[in-house]
Amino acid sequence: MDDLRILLDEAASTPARRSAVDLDLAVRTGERMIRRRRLGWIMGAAAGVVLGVAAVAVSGLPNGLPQPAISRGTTPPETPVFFQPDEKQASFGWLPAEPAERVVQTHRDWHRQWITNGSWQVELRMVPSGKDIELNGNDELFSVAPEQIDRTKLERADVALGREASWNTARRGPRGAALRWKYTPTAWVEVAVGNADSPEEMARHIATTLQIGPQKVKLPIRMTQTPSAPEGFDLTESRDKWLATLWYQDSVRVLVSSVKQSMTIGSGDPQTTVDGKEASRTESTLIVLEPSGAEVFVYRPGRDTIEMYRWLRIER
Amino acid sequence: MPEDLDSEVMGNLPATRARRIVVRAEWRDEYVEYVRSHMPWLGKLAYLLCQDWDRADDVVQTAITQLYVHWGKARAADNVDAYVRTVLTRAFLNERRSAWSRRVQLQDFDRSVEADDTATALAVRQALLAVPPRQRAALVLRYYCDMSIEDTAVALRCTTGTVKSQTSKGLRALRRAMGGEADGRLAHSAG
Repeated sequence: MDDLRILLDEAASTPARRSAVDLDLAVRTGERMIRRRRLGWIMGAAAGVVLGVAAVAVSGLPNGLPQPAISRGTTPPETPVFFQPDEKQASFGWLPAEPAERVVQTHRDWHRQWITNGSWQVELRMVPSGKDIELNGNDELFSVAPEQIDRTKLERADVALGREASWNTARRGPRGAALRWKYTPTAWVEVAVGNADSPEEMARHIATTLQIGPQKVKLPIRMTQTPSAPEGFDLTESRDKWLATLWYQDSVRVLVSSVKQSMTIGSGDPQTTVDGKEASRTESTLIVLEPSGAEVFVYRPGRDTIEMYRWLRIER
Repeated sequence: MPEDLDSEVMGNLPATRARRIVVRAEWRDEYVEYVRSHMPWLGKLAYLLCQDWDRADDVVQTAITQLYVHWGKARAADNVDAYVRTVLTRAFLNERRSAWSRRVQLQDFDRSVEADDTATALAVRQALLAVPPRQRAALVLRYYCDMSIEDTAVALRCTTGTVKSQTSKGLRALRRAMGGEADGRLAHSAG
């Protein structure tokens, strides 16, 4: 056995040539595969499961609610081909109650808002021109090519939204419904409701009072300098807590939580200080605990994370 | 259940979203660090299986892409290296099944001669090329990687009995291919 091992060692001993293996390519391809896999999983799941998990429906709509005055919102003058990374793209008009938790996310090719009062849930998904919204309720990877949409799952909706409107039957359930329509001749928006007594009625009311149009978002954090081109933001507010993330090109991001999340990073120097504050670091990540109790996470592969941390201003 | 859908639990929203964003970055760093530090080992193992640097590069490229996709599983494994060896071996065997592979197989022998080969290395490498791919993989995993019969069976997706028979046949093929040159050295090997 040892002899064969020696022979194989010799066989493997030819000096290696310069390798053409591309690690970055592996990461990029792997990311794409993960996205496709996740999308496939969700699309393959039974509609009931998706509806149960993604929760599309509402309970707060009182019976006999008078029809709200229909407002078609403010349609943007031009169809966007991508979204500005510091804007939200719509504002809710009528809602059954004040939301207790909300998520607002904008990236260049998608915009999402998610709100709940602890019982009903409403999700808004928008894409710019040339894209479409996947059917099953994916929360981030929903901006897809129009040919990826199975249009047999769309049912014509008789709702006065100014343009072609459809019920997305992939998200339909006993307490859920999703209504999508074109907010410009070539760009789609979808409103989905979950955990509702009258989901279709609820979706219809929210859709007809939705104000569509870009609006700057005041985030609780800002950067005095940007590490690379901005890609988007993510703001989550839950009662008295908030979490804000700014995304930049090359996966660079800064995330701030208003409260300590006890984030951990794997290897590196777990106990250090940055500007006198408790911190932990690896080659590309930095976590800093602020005196206010807020926790900051910086991810900047191959570049100075402390420099980027020092560009951050927490304004809430 | 996908983490992103599962995680949006009422009242716990910021915590779960933070965890998701941090974990993604952390895993990526770990993965990059692992692959960078193991690249020479991966290249050598792939070369031993393929006997050709170009194809070894292709196999490693496929394997590390698969590894990225399944990094969560790999990092949780008892032995990450064993997991990676399995991924690499399967990438090699899958690549061998492709039409492209069958087409270029005819040129294997000529391309396998490297300028820096010693006489023994050349003899062994040319003999290895005469061993069918699955048998070659069994030999490399059992004798070069010191993997147990059970672990080799997992890597090759077969039974332990098949590993034993593939190893035995592989050794016979190797002996035949090497002629008298290695008879003595291989006589002590199992099979």
